[in-house]
This record gives sequence, C-alpha cells and structure tokens, in this order.
Amino acid sequence: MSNRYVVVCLLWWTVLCAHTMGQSMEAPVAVRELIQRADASANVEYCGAVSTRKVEYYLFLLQQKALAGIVLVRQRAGAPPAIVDADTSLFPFREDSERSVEKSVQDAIEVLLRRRNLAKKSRALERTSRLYPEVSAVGREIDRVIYPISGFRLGSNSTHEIWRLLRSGPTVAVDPRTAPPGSIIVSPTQSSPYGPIYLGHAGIVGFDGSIYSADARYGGVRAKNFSLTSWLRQFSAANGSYAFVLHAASDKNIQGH
Amino acid sequence: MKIRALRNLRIFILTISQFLVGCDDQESADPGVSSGTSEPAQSDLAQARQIAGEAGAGAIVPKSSGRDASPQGNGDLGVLGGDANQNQQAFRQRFGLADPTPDQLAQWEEDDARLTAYSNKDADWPYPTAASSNWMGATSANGDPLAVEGTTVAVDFNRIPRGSLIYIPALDMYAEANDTGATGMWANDDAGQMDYGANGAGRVDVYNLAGDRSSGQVEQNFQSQVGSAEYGQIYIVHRGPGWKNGGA
Repeated sequence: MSNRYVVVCLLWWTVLCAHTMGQSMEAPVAVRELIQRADASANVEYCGAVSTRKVEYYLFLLQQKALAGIVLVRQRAGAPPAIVDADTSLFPFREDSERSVEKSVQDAIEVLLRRRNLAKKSRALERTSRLYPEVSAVGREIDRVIYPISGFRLGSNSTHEIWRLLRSGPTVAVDPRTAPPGSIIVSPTQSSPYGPIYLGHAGIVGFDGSIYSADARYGGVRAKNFSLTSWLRQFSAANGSYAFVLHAASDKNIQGH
Repeated sequence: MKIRALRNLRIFILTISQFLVGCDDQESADPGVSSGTSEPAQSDLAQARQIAGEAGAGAIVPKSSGRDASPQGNGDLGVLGGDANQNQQAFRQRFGLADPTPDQLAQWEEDDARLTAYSNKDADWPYPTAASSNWMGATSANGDPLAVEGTTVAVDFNRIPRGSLIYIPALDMYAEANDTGATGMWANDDAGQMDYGANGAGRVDVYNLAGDRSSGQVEQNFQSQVGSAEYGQIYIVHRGPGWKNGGA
C-alpha cells in the first residue's frame, strides 16, 4: 500500500516537473563518450535526462569498487557536452556560478534519483527511506558513528561539503599520514568540464591503520575497506587527502541539523 | 622626522606581515597530503579513540580486510606445477614468511593486477627474459627465488621494481618479482584497463611448470584456480630486493 502511494506521488511529481524532465532512454553518444573518457575504470549507469529550453542535462551514476558518485553533464545546443558537477552527492547543490543549475533542474534531478533508488531498492535504502535521493552514504556512515559520541554530524554525503564542514567545524586538522585512530579522513572529488573525474571518498581511521567507510559494493554500509597507506596512495595525488580530529563534545561544539 | 618614523613603521608592518604570511605556509613533503599543524588535546584524542572503536564495531570486514575483498586462495599451488607447493613452502621457510594477518594486509600496498599465467610451453615467450638465465634448467626445489613454479612471477619492472616481494591473495602465494617476460609488450595493449591505472600493478604473470600440459591448458587451469577473468589484486610486501635482508 505504501509502495503504491510512493509511486503515485512520484508520478504526480513527474507530471508537475514535466517541463524540465526529459524522457530519453539513453544519453547521446558524445555524452556517453565523455563519461567513459572521464572515468574509464568506473561502472557507469545512466540515470536520466532533464530538459530545459536551451540545455539538456544528463545524470550518470559511477561506481568504482567501494566508491560511488554522481555526474551531471550539461549540453547546450551546438556545443560539446561538459561536466557540470561530479561528487559522491550533488546535495546541497553548489552555488558557484560555473557549477550551479537552476532550481527546477535541481528538483528534477532529485526526482530522478529518488525514482532510480526506488527501483533499485538497495540494501542501503531499506535501512533508511525508500525515497532517499543519494547514491553514496559516505557522510551518513560517518554520522552514524560520530554523532552519538560527539554530538557533531556532517549531514551531507558530498565529499566537498564534508571537507568544508570539517574545515569550518569543531575540529583539529591533523596530518593524514599520521592521523590518529578516530580521525575523519576526506579526499574531495575532483573533476573538470571535459574530464577526468576522480571520485573522492571519506571515512574514519581505525585502530590498526585501517579505514572504515561506506562501501558501494555492500550497498553503502560501512566496511573496513582501506588501509591508511592504500587510501593515501589512491587519493592523495589526484584528490588530496585531509584528516581531522573532532573536538571533544561540549555544548558549544554541537551542530544541529 | 615624521617621514622617517612613517617609513620605519611601514618596514615594521611589512616585516611582521611577511612573517605572518610565512607562518601560514604549511610545508608538505608529499603533494596532495595536507600537513596538519595542530595538536589535538588529550580529551579530543580520547573521544577519537571512542570513535575508532565504534567505527569498527558495526562494520563489514571483508575477507582480505584490505582495500578490496580479494578472493583468498586455499594454499594449494599444485596448479602451478609438480613442485609448486614445496617450492612455496621452502621459500617461506627460508625468508620467514607466514600467512599474512589482516593487519599486515591492511599495511601492505594493494594493487589491481592482471593475473595471468606463463609457462615453459609458451611458444611466443620472448628470450632472453630477465630471469631466463635462472629458470632455464634451474627449476630445482631449493627455495631460491629463481624462476621456479610456486615462487616466481613476471612483472612490469616499471611498476614493480625487480626483486620486490609480492603476495597474491587469490593463490595465497608469496613470490619474488624477478622476471619480466612479455609484460612490457602487453603494457601497450592493456593501457586503459583498470590494472594499468594509477593503482594498477599491470600484468602479473605467474610462472607455471607445464609438465604434460599444453600452454593453453596451463592458462585454463590457472584461471580456474584464481577464479576470475584475469582481474585481481596483489599486495606489494616490499618494493625492491631489500626484504631479503630482513626488510619484509
């Protein structure tokens, strides 16, 4: 019954957003080639298109072993397609001029993702809401650990947003090469308009030099899936690696979300 | 007088500001890795330890506990040739190598690799290879890391330095990277594959003594054993030959 309700709601939402959501079954060759070229080693899933009067947007999901992310491609008439944004999550949408998209497009992207996740009914989604619009749970899995202990939470699955929150939050930046157990390590996704895309990631440093992070191979749940050494080798050159220790909880540090 | 005082004040401000700017520079020997300059308080570290404990408490721990859940071999290297098991055993004994613990795997460098087989029946095997002077007629079970079945692999020396000690989880096998074979030739064909990416070790050819088998049978047997269409993982236990002197 509740499933039927959700589907009906989504259909209505789709109708309401009909002026921005396209029905194309697959992306144009140039767009697909751009994605393949941008991250040759990732599994690519086409998630749908959003059309406006002058611009077409194409949404892709990438999975590369433990990593999962989203890529938004924009194609203006007569121009080659270009990557607008790529990260583990597009939420919150960026405000800077080059990577920003209009609100109606943002809403349509959210609908596409919810619809995709509803169809997938992945293990991660069953643990939360069926209408969860995320494809990566990097922030959520960190929050599950740190919030009950420290009172601080990230509230985002975007590596860029996580990095920003950690830099501006109640933290101490530490050298990731010697990050103590319990540090949060983040390597923000890097991309440029015509590629490449280097998906980023975030996790928690464990006791034995291991790192625990959301793992796309297990539906986004937390896994012991990196060592500090392998993390730095994989991410430091292209993404950069940053580590932070949370200040011990006190009233002034608690961030409400 | 006023002008001189003003000039002195400017010099003072300039000096101070340069000093402050200099203090902001965080030198990092490793590009892409931020060097933190702050020290967490003891209370922060205590909380961090609590976080580390909780992070591990509810987490999935893949079998290999490394970067990837690599399939783990059963320790039987018979597929590599008649004496492969005893050669591996002698190799381990000689260099004090034991089955790796999860902690060791977590510390070692893990790479994507194209796991393939080569054998003494390969018609197209280029001579001389780096180790051919060793393995031609020298396949005695002496534990030496020569090109003997059960201990030898051929790698791209541009990616894995010659003499490195590697561990192949799919075979539960340690090996010295002491042959290069055709890996250089394959590098062009394989470019763009994930095992030739930034985290790739490239092609890792495992030496087989074919015995009565043909070259093709050796390859089939090997792929059945590692259980993959060539893609796999290896760990580089030690880069270069230093491990023989206790570096492993």
